[in-house]
Amino acid sequence: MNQSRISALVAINVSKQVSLPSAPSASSDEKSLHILNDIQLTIQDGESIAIVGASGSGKSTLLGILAGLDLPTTGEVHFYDKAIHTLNEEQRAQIRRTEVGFIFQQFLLVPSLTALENVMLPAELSDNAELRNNAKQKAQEWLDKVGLSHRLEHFPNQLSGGEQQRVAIARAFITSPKLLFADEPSANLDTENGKLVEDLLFELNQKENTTLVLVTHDLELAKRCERTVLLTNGQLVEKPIVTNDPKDPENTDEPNKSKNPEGSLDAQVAEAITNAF
Amino acid sequence: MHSNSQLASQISATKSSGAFITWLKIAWRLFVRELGRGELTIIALSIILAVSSVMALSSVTDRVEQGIMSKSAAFIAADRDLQSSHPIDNIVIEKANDLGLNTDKHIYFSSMAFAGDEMNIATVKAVTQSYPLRGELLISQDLVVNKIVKKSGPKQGEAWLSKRLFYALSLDGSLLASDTPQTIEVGELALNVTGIIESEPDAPFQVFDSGTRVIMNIEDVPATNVIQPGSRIFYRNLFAGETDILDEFVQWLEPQLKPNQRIRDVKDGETAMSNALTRAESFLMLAGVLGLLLAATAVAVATRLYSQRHFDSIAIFKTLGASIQQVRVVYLFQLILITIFSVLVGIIIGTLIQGIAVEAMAGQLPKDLPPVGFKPLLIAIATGMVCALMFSIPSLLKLFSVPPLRVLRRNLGDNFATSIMAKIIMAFTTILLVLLYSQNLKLTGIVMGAGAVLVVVILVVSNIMIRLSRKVGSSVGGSAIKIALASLKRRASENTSQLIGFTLAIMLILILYSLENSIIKEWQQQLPEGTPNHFVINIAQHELEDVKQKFDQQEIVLEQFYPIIRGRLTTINDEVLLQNKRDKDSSGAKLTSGENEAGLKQETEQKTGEIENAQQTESESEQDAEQQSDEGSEGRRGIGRELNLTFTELFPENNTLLEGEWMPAGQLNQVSVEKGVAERMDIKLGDKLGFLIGARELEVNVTSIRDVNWNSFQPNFFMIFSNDVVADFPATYITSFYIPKEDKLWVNQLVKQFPTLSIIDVEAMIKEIQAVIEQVSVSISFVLLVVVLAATLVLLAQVQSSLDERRKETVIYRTLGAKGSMIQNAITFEFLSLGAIAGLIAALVAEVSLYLLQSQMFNMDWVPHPELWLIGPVSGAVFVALVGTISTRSLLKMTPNELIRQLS
Repeated sequence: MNQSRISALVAINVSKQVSLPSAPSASSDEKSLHILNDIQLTIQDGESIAIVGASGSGKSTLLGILAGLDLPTTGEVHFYDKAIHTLNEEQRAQIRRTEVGFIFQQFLLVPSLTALENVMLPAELSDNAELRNNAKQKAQEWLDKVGLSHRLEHFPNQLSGGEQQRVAIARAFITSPKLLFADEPSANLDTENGKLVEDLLFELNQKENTTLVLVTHDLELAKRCERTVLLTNGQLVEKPIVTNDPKDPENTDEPNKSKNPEGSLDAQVAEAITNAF
Repeated sequence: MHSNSQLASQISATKSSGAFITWLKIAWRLFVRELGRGELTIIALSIILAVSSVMALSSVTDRVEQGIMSKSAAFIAADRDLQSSHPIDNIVIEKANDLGLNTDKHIYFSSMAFAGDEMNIATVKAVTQSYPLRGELLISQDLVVNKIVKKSGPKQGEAWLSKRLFYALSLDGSLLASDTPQTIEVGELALNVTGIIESEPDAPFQVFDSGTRVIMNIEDVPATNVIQPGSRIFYRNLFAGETDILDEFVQWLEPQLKPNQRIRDVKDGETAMSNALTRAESFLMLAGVLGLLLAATAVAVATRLYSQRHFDSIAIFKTLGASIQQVRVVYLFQLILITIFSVLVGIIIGTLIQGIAVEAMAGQLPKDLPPVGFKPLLIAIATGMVCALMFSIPSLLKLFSVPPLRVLRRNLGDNFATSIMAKIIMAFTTILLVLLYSQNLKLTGIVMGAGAVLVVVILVVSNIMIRLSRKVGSSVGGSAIKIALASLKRRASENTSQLIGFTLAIMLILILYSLENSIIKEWQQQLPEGTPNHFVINIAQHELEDVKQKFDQQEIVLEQFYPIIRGRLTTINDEVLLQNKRDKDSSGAKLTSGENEAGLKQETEQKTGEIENAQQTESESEQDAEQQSDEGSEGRRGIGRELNLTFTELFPENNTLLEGEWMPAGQLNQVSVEKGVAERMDIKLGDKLGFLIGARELEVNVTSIRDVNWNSFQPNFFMIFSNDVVADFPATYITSFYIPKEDKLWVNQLVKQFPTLSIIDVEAMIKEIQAVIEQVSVSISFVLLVVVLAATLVLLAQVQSSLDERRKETVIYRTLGAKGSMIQNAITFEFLSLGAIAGLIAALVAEVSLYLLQSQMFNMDWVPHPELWLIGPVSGAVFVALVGTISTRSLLKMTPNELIRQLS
């Protein structure tokens, strides 16, 4: 099954370093901070993958690079057939506009636009004339799908957190993106609302057959994805064959590791997260 | 599927017009939403303020300028006039008519006027029917105050009389408008009396408003047979028209002028009023420039706030795939919408303000003002656009460069420094705006200089503050103080910019306040209550005691009596001065205006009636002298005419002794010289001056030099001798006095009793000046108010821009359980100290600016303003704390939960 899929996103030897100009006394080596080291990751089309890791493990940095919001210091990132690490900001924006959707922990709606207008925004920015012209109708449909048809004219600050995130989900899906990035989508919500948003996200994702890249520190949430990878100390610990889908017959591909609690991914994640706190 | 090159072509495909219109729609939506939510209030208010104040100020200034011009033109009842003591060739009028100028001819002479058995000496002005070319002639047809505006001179056979002559001839007021008017005889001609002169534009300072005067038609003059060889006649041709034609005409005329002819333009007729108006105009211009600067600052601060608040939105836009171009189009279009909206509102408000201001000054402006021209409108629109676009550039550039990654790394882009390019653009725009608006290099220089000083001082001060905090920070143990100092350091650049905003606002208010104060004070000092409103001249020696007694009986306080002797300065230290040929012709007495002021330099004589319009100014005599030296003559030039000399040993009240000693005892032959003359003629203490008085030559020594207040409405003299010098010369006396309006008729009785006395009524002139000063004072106070508003707006914008940061802090304090009053106190204290520091710097820079402005722009004496050093810090602290506390109050009313909600 995996072989039949095409790769949606491939990261090859991706590293990210940032310099710390605020430490004048440090040596040149100390001045730079290695956030990501030699990341290898392949995400198949239609797959849902969770990137888990503790705070400060570099999750957001990796997400930024995969989504084309940022560039790796070294390495390559391929989005379908496009080498996005070679593209300039404008070209990357063009890909985001047409093929990528985002959902953020802080919702990040435009505060001065209503729910409806927030959802319309990506459609209106689109290069697709048909989408642009039907932006309002589409937005209404999507808000209906997320259960907010009664909240069209409300501004973000008049909506609850859960509602805001549902608007964000509608906004993410309106352009029918090939790939959806979700950054801790329920972290800012209470359990009940968080659950609601998660359900909605996975439901729509399945319906739309969108590739989902989910960044979270929530192991329960991660489990809802087909696959989980762990980011720790800037390195990716991946068990590509270990998928979380119990129905997947290839789940038992590497029995040794799953039998060994020390080596299991869940345990590693749990340990990494505990250590981080 | 896609290759990179395909991508590029796709991007360019997005530039299709359909997409573009959608972007504009987004911009429009953002504009409408944000306007409705009050997020654009500060930025819109700043632009509205810039536009409305510029609009109001420049249209008011425009109209005041017109007021000055037309007042000055009215002053000679024309745009230019040619004065001559002998008939002027007809070719002059013909040429003027050919060129398309309006012309008028006057002849002035004095003659006895008879009415039945009554007779009185009358000063006659014969005019054409096109009189007056400029200004307003008011003639009434009854004695009740029923003024009728007359736009043309009297018809042939008619005469208009001044009230005083009318009474002196015992005429009957009820017959004025009747079919059988009374007649007076001037020379051999009988004229029908058909009107009373209420006011005429070219009465010099309305001095002779109540003199014994006649206005008649020039065509009637030959029939009077008054003009005989040897008669003292004065001729004037008057011209009005377009400036370029006038210039062409004057160019043609000047080479042909005879020595006793001179052509005058309106600027020669400087009066206290035009002086007041010019100064007010400078003030308005300065206020306008400062208001403009404040509004520009407000725009800059407001757009900074605006862009800070939109960092997230831009990051979201970019994350959603908006191209740079899309972001630019959306936000620039939104800015353009804000600008258009604010400019429109600004123009409406500005027009209203100027309407109110013009209404308030209606009395001082010409009745039929042209509508507000396009110039103020254009200036206002340009100002609004330039302010909005240029001053928001740095913020917008910052905004556009916010990386999309900010959606993940929340503080990315917060600390982008303003690029040097943006700073240069703003500096250039500021200079350009000030220059365009003021069209005055000097003012621009002063304003920019003050601005530079301000920035330097603030940078130094804030640098010192940061250094101090660093030093103290490492040595102080308390963690609270450490945190406070750390936050001070962290917000150093923000504090600096806040400080610049606060200081600028306070400084400009201080400057305008002090200027307004000193201008108004000077004006008020110029004409205090009870300023003499009449001059009595020509009091003979033997009448002196009787006249004094009369005044005593009426309980009128007389100013000092001065004897007047006419004489000519002939030598300085035995060096013979060159004399002006013209003097022989124009020996007439002159009621002159001061160099720039309306002081009556009391050089009057009443022997002839031809003094009417011979208001020779001091500057004219300078010109005369200069012309002489231009002619290649060597040696020192004379004053150019006979002087009114006096002698007294009582120091004149309104004079200031500059050098030497006032009439030291035991010395003979002393003279005290006026400063201006002394400077011009290079006369020093101890110099020996030779005078020719009558046929007698005498020599005197300069023992003192005086400064004379020409605005005092008291007799003033260039030369004052000691009593021994000329006491034995026959002299007439002059004095001035104040008499309330209701007692004025008494003056007529006095004149009847002493027919040789001449009373000059300057009441109308004083009234006029006082009225102008009052109106202008009101309007400059009003302008000050506008500037205070602008300053408040800057403060508001500045405080608003720190509100988001404060919100975060407040959340933390509140969550940790800090009391509202504690946070309130902390905020108040912070603003108090910021305001006080800003006020102190403002006082310093304001003092420097005031020195430059007063000495360079307003021709005033600079005196230190110690009060600024108190007003500055105190008002700064109070003002900033008030604005800051009030606008941060909402923060404290919110629960931490609400605050957190707002933050997210």
